Amino acid sequence: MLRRIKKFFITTGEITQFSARYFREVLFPPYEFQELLKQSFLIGNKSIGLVGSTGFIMGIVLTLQTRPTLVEFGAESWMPSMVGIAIVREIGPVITALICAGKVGSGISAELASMKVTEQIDAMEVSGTNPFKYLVITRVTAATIMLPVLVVFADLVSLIGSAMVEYLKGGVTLQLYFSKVFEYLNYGDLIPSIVKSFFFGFAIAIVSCYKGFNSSKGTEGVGRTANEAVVISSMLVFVLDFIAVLISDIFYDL
Amino acid sequence: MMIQENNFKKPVIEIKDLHKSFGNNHVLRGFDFTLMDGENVALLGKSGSGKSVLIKCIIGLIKIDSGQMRVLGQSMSDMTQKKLNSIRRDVGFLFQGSALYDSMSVRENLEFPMRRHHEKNDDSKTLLVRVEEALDSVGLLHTLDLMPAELSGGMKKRVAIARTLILRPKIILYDEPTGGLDPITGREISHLINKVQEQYKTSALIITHDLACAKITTNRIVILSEGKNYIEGSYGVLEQSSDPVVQEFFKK
Repeated sequence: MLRRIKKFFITTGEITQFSARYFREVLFPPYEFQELLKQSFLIGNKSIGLVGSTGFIMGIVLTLQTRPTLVEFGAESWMPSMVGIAIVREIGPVITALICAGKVGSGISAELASMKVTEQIDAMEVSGTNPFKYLVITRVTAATIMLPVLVVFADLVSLIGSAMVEYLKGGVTLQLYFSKVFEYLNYGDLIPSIVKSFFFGFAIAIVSCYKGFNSSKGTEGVGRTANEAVVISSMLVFVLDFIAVLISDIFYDL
Repeated sequence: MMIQENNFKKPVIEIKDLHKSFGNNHVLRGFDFTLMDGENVALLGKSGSGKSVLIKCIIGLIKIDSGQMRVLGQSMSDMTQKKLNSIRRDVGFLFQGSALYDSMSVRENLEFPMRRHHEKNDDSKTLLVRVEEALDSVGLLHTLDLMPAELSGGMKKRVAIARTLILRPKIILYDEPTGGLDPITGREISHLINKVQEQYKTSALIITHDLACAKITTNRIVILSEGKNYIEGSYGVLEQSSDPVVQEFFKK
């Protein structure tokens, strides 16, 4: 038990140092713009299908599950605003981040771990390239930029799914549905949601890169590394979400 | 202990009293070595004796604890990253497992070191000519657009050799060039090492367990034992040695 606690603190310290190195190196040249663009495309393109379909289903399910209760209290007109706020504030960012932790995080950590095991990272260094800049900074920056984009997309698709249910079950037009959604949504809902998405993206990518970059124990370690990266980054998403809600409450009086 | 003098004049790698430890594991304990210009030297040693650590120290992937190391006349201690990169331009490194980038095609693998070593001004046509020339010299021109996963172990080694040649290095460090290959392919790689030396006038330090490779490729063999240069000499001389440590390597 003591050993586990010690390991937890050591890993936390190392991830903090790894993050500090990111901030130290991200501002100074050489800048790997081409690799950053490639990684941004890969992260966005790889996840957009999964994020879109999951968001769509979440919108439908949430509306179908809450509708009977609201109908019972005669409050079905509150449905668009309630679903809108729930999706934009919480469901959209958290579900998207968890999907990215599973898909993007595991991909990054497994790729870097296998590069480490097969000496590709050393080969890169011998070729006059700083592997931290080329592999870590590009991936972390790309994930930090792309996650909010994916969250906005997931929110939109989720609301479309919800609007479809409302149209089919209650005859609410798309125009009326969205006008109700935006009537009750304000900056206090949108800004914290977008801001925390940046942090989710950063946390997922930095943990995954740290795990991949420090992988050992040969090919056996590659699978374990990917697994650990997903578990830690998923946990971090919830911790960051908790902190974000506390801070939002101070600024926006939720 | 030196058994045979050689005829080479200018040293390209000079190592004196090199020490390197990992915790309590003292891998190199006062290693001395000189590689002369145009010479091919094989480094023999048991697994875990520090052979790979030594060549990673030479290329600056691992920092030494103490001792002196000069590569192409430049001291490797307290070297700036920029200077280290300029040394790395002149020192090719063949990794044990080839270390080709899985996500890049053969062509991109070969272009990568050129682009990184600030040959960015070269247009893609010039880069392609250099890539084709390097691939041609290892007999694999037809693999230009293949991915590493589509190549056999021997082909990967050849492509990796082509990648080390692309910057026309003065020294090539080979880490187990025939490791994991069948004897026939291993022999082909050994002859390729000789061909490369003749064509590009390189010097080479070859880490190997394969005596056939050492016999074909080298002018001199160094045996690393207990972190030190135990003995060195030509293949023929060492083969006749009655020293028990030497005999461990040469007994059939």
